[in-house]
Amino acid sequence: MHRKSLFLAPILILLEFVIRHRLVLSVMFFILLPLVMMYVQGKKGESELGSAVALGLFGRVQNAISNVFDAASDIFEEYVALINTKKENKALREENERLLGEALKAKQIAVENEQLRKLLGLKEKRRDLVLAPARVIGAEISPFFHVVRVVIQADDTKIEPGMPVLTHTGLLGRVLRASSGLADVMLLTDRKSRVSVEVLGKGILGVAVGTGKADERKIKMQVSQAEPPIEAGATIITSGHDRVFPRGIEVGYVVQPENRRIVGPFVQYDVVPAANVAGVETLLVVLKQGD
Amino acid sequence: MRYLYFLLGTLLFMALQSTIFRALGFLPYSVDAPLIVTVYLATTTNLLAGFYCSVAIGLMADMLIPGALIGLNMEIMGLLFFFVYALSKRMNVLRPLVLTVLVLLLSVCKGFLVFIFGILFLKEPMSLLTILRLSLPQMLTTSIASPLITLALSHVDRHRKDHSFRTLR
Repeated sequence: MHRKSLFLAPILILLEFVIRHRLVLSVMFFILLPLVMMYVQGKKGESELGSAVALGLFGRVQNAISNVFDAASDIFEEYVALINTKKENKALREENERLLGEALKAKQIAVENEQLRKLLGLKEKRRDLVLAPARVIGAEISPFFHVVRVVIQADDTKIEPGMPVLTHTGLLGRVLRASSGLADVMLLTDRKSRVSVEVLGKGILGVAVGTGKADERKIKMQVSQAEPPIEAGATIITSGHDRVFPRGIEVGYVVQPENRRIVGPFVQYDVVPAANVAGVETLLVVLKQGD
Repeated sequence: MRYLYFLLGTLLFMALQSTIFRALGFLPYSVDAPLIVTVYLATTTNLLAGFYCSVAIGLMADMLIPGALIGLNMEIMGLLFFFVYALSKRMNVLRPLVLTVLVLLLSVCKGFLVFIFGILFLKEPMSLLTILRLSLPQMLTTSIASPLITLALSHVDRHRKDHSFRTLR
């Protein structure tokens, strides 16, 4: 009996302490918890649970809002078009207006078709890659990360972190985290972005590094000082050496090579990315790369 | 129930910003809604409930910002809540001019905290100057929009029957 009470005493004291100071302890818990979360994430990368909650739950909310916004803007556009038609009716004949409206619509469809045709062309050209279409539903609202959130349009497609993401004009970035049909895509301009590249037709190898600057659409390319100078407009493509991005995808073009800088053992060139996320709705995720 | 309104409202506001502002091309000028709601909570609620709500809003922000370090906003909102709570005991921070200046200062503080946590937990942290420069448009928009958003929040509060917030001095 005496031994049992000796064993229970510290537990009871601890329990009493916790109950008495429960408010302070709960505040301390919620101050320490985020620190632990950041530490774990910084050390081990994104956790499965974190990705599932961030994308599965909050991504769905964004997707729903994006859909509602798309529908609302369609209705608004139709309403505006109707008002315009009414005004123009006073000055122009009905037949002309109808034709004008149709021509505009056809133009829009042609632009959309062109984008889709190019994506299809890319898919045809790169038969070694298994691609899945994705739609952009949200972009970063924090100035610190260059990441967009996408919803994968093909059913039963397993998206994994690290998968490359393309547009019809070139490489856009890579999947940062993914869960249940939604994914965060880190753009080439993000500070953490690194891509092994080469100068097309020159065989000069280098690394394309994101600048993280929100106000300029540029990335840096670092090449060895031993390499000959690169001229303006030179096309940069993926080299495939990083085993993340497939070889031969357009990354960007060298601009203002006269502004190149020496950074450690490298020469650093400014590169304008070939792909621009602004105005692009449909992307392609590389699910599998051929040998 | 009141806190649920705040949580859902902030969630909706942030989700709207991340989708609609992108479509309209206003992303760099998005309002830091969690910060404003945290200031409002620190001024109008009791310590613990407001703190928990602020932390939850921070967590939500972490989840909604693609690529964010989960826990970053959670920690920042928790810390800023205590600061504003202490400050609100000494002065009325909800006056428009005071609020605008306070939110601007808090945005700068947030930049400092992002920098510090970046150094502690990220492999490649950003420099303080870069962080402040990148977040300058958002800081300005947030501080300018803060009186309006706070007014909207207090309006919602006033029209709710189950309200039980601290009196505005």
